[in-house]
Order: sequence, then structure tokens, then C-alpha cells
Amino acid sequence: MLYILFMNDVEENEAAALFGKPILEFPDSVFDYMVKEERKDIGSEKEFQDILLEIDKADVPMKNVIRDTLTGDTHDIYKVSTGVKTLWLACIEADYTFLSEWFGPNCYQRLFDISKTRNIYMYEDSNMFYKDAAESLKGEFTDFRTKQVIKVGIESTIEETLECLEERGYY
Amino acid sequence: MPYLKINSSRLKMDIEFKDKYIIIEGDSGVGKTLMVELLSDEESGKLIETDLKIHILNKVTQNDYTNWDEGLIVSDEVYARKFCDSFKDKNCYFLIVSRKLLKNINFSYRSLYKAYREYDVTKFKRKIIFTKEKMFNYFDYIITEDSGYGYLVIKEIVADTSIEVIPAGEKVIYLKR
Repeated sequence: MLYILFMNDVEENEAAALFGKPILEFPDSVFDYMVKEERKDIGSEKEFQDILLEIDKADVPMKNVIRDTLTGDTHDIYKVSTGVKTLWLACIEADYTFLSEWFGPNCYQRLFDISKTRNIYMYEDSNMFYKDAAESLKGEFTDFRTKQVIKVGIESTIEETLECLEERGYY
Repeated sequence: MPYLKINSSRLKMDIEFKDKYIIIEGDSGVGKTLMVELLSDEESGKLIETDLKIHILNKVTQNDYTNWDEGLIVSDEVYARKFCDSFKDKNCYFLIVSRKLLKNINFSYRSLYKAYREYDVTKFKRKIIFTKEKMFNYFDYIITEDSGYGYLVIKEIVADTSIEVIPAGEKVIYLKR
């Protein structure tokens, strides 16, 4: 489940305290550390490959190397976008409060999909439900404040979801 | 007007600093970090054209930040988050990568840019572009309640028309037909 606290409702530090998880302040460094120090071969994981292809349009031709599918350019795996790094940290349920800022609009649907089977705690600080990408978003999240499940794009339009969030004073 | 141009095979940017801040957002993986890296890389010199001294705000340079009093400060989202409370006190231009709602600084719609990828090249465009409405053809005057930024925005939109824009402020305005 995706648990969300909103910027207009609580301060960042308060959100971290309520979730009981520190803010993910440096997603790139945390990702790099995990890959380097824990010697994870994340490039061989199907879920990582899918995320990488969808978000960065890149594949993994060999260990710790990514290849841009448009240009054929290759880079080391640490060059993947912050969005991909943060989504992968969400996949492994890294023990952090995630910030919505780290996710580009093209990551939102994947984030909702990951949260179907894993718990993600997120502080919404970037107006994500007002972005164009939210219009096609389908999924649900739990308003951590009230513990109510809010559906997005399922049985309700994004306008109705926004109305509900505005009524709660979150926007 | 201060400007910044980057002309690399992978990234094109051409921005005039009409305001103190340029804030860049966009999808993940379109090249925002690449832009910061290009500006950080001394070997990119030939690709960059600007009349501003560039300071890159990052892990290595963060201790120098207090000494920067002019030029252009470039920051990725991590350090923009960390330092944004003090941006308003600086007499510098800022090029910031951020999706966060930066509530502590005043910026205009002209500050917001979107990074996008066209084939294999990263490009940038203004996020909000006002277009002239047809109804503007029916008016000789537009009175704006706001005499500050609202007035300037409308004035810019109708700049190439004969419409006169008048800020009301606290005044009562009479118009003769």
C-alpha cells in the first residue's frame, strides 16, 4: 500500500516521525551505496530492467552497464535517473519516507503498481495529483492521517479525487 | 539580459534570465541531471555560452555557498531542497532543478521550465505559455486589480496589440467611451 502524508498538512520532519522512517534525502547516494557496498547485481533483476526501460528507455547489456536504447550509448549503472533509483528503492521497501519530488510524473503509475504488493511511505511535496500525468493514473493510496483508502482513477475521476483532497485541506 | 546557452549534441538550452529564478522540472530520465553535469564539467566550456559566472551547488561546493554573491547558482534537486530557504537572501541568479513546491521564494510563471527529450536530445521550454484570447479583440482597455505582477503579466500578453492595460491599485478609474 502507498501511504501518503501531505505537505499542506504536516511538515517534513513531522511526516518522518509519524511514519517512523527517516526522510530519503539523498536517493542517488543511497542507491549507489547499496549497489556498490552490498554488491547487488540489480541489473539482472527483471523488475529493475522493466523500470529502467519504461522510465529511462535503457536496457542492461551486461553487469552494471546500462545502454540507452535510442542512442546506443552505454554508461555505468549509477547514471540511471533519480526516478529509476527511487522506484527501485521503493521496490525493495527501503526503510525511508520517500518524497514525491524524487518521482517524475512518468514514475507515478509504476509507483502505484509497486505499492500493490509493497508498503511505501511517501511525503507529497510536489503537487503530484495536479500534474497532467495524474489524469491517467489508476490505483489507490491510504491517507495516513485518516487511514482512509482513496482511489485514483478507479470508480472516480482525478477531479473527484482532487476535490476530496482539497476538502481535507491537503491542497 | 543575462543568458545561458548550452549547445551539446545531447542537450540544447537557450535561456534568458528575465527573473532571478529558473526552475526546471520534468519527467525522470529526460536529462535534468545531465544539464547540471554539463555545467559542472570544465571540459564543457566550449559548449556553454553565458555572461554569468557559474557556481555549482553540490556536496563538494556547499561550504563555499555563503561566499557566492553574484553570478549564477546551479543546483540539482537534492541541494535545492537543502538550501532553498536562503535563496531569497542571495544576490544571484538561480538555475534550479526541482519538482518541490518552493514556498519560500517568490517566482513568476516565467521562471518555470520543463525539460523534455526529443529523440536523443534534451531540450527545455517554458512550462506556461499564455496565448492571446480572441476576446482581446473586443477591448480597448483592460483594468487589472493587481498593480504588481498581475498587471505585468497581462501587459506582456497583450504587448503587440493596441490594448491599454491599466492597473487599478486602490484607485477608482473612470473611462470615457
